[in-house]
Amino acid sequence: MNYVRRLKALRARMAGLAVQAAVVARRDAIRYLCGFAGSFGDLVLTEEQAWLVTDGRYATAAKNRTVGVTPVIGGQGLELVPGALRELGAGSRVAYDSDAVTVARLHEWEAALPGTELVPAPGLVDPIMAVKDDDEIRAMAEACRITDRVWEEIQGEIVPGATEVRLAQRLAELQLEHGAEAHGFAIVASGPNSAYPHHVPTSRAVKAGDFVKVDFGCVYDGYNSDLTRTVVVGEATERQREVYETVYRAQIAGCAAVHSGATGEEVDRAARSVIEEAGFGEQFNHGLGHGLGIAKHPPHVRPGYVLAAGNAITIEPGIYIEGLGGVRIEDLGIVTETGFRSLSYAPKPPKLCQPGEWQ
Amino acid sequence: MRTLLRLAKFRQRLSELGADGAIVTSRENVAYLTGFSGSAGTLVIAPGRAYLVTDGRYEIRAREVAKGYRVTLGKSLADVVNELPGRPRLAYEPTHLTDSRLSELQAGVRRAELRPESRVLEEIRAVKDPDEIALIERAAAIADEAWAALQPSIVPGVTEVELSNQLEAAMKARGASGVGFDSIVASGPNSAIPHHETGDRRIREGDFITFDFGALYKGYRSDMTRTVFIGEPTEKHREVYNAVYRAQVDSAAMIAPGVSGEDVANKAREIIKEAGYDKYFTHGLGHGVGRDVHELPGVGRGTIFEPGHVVTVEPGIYLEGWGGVRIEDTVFVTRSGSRPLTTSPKPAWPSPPGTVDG
Repeated sequence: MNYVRRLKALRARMAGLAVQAAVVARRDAIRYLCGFAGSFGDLVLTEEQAWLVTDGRYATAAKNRTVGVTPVIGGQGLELVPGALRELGAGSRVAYDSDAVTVARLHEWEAALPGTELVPAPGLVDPIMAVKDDDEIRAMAEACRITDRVWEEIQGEIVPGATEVRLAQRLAELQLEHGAEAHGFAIVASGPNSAYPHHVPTSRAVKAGDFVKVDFGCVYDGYNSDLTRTVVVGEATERQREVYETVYRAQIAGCAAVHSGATGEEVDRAARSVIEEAGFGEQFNHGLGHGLGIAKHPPHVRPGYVLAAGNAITIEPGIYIEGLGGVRIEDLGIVTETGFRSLSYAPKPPKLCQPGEWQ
Repeated sequence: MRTLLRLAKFRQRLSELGADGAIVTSRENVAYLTGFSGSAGTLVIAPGRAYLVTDGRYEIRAREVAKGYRVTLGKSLADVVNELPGRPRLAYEPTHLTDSRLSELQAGVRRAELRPESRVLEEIRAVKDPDEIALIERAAAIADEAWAALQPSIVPGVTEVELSNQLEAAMKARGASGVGFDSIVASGPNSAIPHHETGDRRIREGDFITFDFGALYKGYRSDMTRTVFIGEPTEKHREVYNAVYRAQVDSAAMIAPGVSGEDVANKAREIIKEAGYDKYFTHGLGHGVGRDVHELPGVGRGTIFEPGHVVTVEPGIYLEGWGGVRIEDTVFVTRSGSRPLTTSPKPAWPSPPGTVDG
């Protein structure tokens, strides 16, 4: 990963904010800027220096698994940022990502640095992270390849009697076996549970007639994949077919509306109108998609955002009918000048299929 | 409804602090008070009413689970606060609410007064109700069972990561929804690093291997550590291990209602000091466990144990470059004493994998 470019871009932002230093507390931004994946630690950046400030638990990781930063190790359970800023002679204006710094921490910093103006900069690194470079796209493509492959492999196990929890475990195991660094979340929602957009897998066993909606992903080289596919086990009803085909058409329409310069509102509208026209508007009650990289971050596919070439976004409409079940279809891809380059190649049948029916 | 009892206790505490209500943004605290554990959920608690503010992804789930709360979608926190009558004084959580969210709130809120109050729910959560104990007990049993199942795999040649993956799979196969935290498997010289990052080292004869792991079960976590030895231990191995063993057992045995955490911590330290290794016991004795893997009460100064507390007792000795030992149980403080919830065999001397007593 080109950490040098990223730190340079953040320094340019610092210049734009007229600050002499920046504190980055958000975990995904820290990993983005220097590779550090520990769960405690902050990046403190001046024009000349870049410090990764953490405690003894992460000393080895800070030394061996970061690039371009000096590890600075302090005592556990202590607030280490003010000391670091003082030692760096950080100057009178310091920006910080206020969306990741609690009020309590900020008060400690203010008390410890009375002469310093702490400048809140929510989402400080987001504009830089929003545009993926080739290394990142490669990592996300590989994460998606692993997820796609596992989706194919799991088809034979989506049978009556299989439990949601067991299927979720298998998705995790298989992704790890295929080289993922970690498995992401896994939503396996069968039958009536598929009506919950963010269902947590339970011990419910799949039954004939169930929708089985699977939303999962993995982490590869720090980057996430994210895929949703929905199948039916056994005979589908007319209604189930109707719901599926509507979501499919909406998902295609959403992808087709993506291009550099499109607004989140426009793309959402393109998908949502398909669902509304079919009479299911009330049953699609979440946003169309989100930005993604090391974690979820802007731009999202919702009103208030504009898409640009290089953004990684998901397109994931759904219809959820309490008591009956729900369908979601999701791809992850990159916004291009003229369209949407999906990184998800898992088969996306236009008609509702049984597990593996397309194989 | 357990969650509403907890809400009542929270309201009482708030009124003692002079607040009319609260804004709760910490995910664990929202789950504690409502049973709702989605990634987007905030509570606005006011006299006579309580709101769960979330988004469309969680609508059905929230309505089903959060009885007694008005589920509100598509509104900002400030909007909801502005619907409250009068000039309510609302406590927020300074250790959880981000600076940017507070700024947004302050910009949008018209009449309410927002004030920081730390640790209110954390202190309430330190005393577990019977439902919670049952869940932590299950999380502990899952960890114990997975530990037993792992023993045959702990052989020279296997890597730390292979063992940690097997342990995770074994916990999930027994009903865990996940791991309590990233498992630590630290072999040979790595066992001298308390928070070693489980890696590719292959275990071999002469190794201490420390396993620090726990299960996540229905929102609650367990935490335990066992150290095994491969091969013939030297006198030094025996001395170091047994000092940790006695420190763990004797300090845990002291825990009972009314006992001070400082006394318990000092006991463990004294035993290790007597053996000559005080300088190498480089962390605190333990921490509270529950929804979070580290929570109140602490095991040290400032704590007087009460029935319902759940804490870890985990002394260790770490000799850089040579190896280390840590032994840990999750302990529940009962009305009359305490008992460990993690009950895996705990030999008094360095022992090979699969040792059931000794």
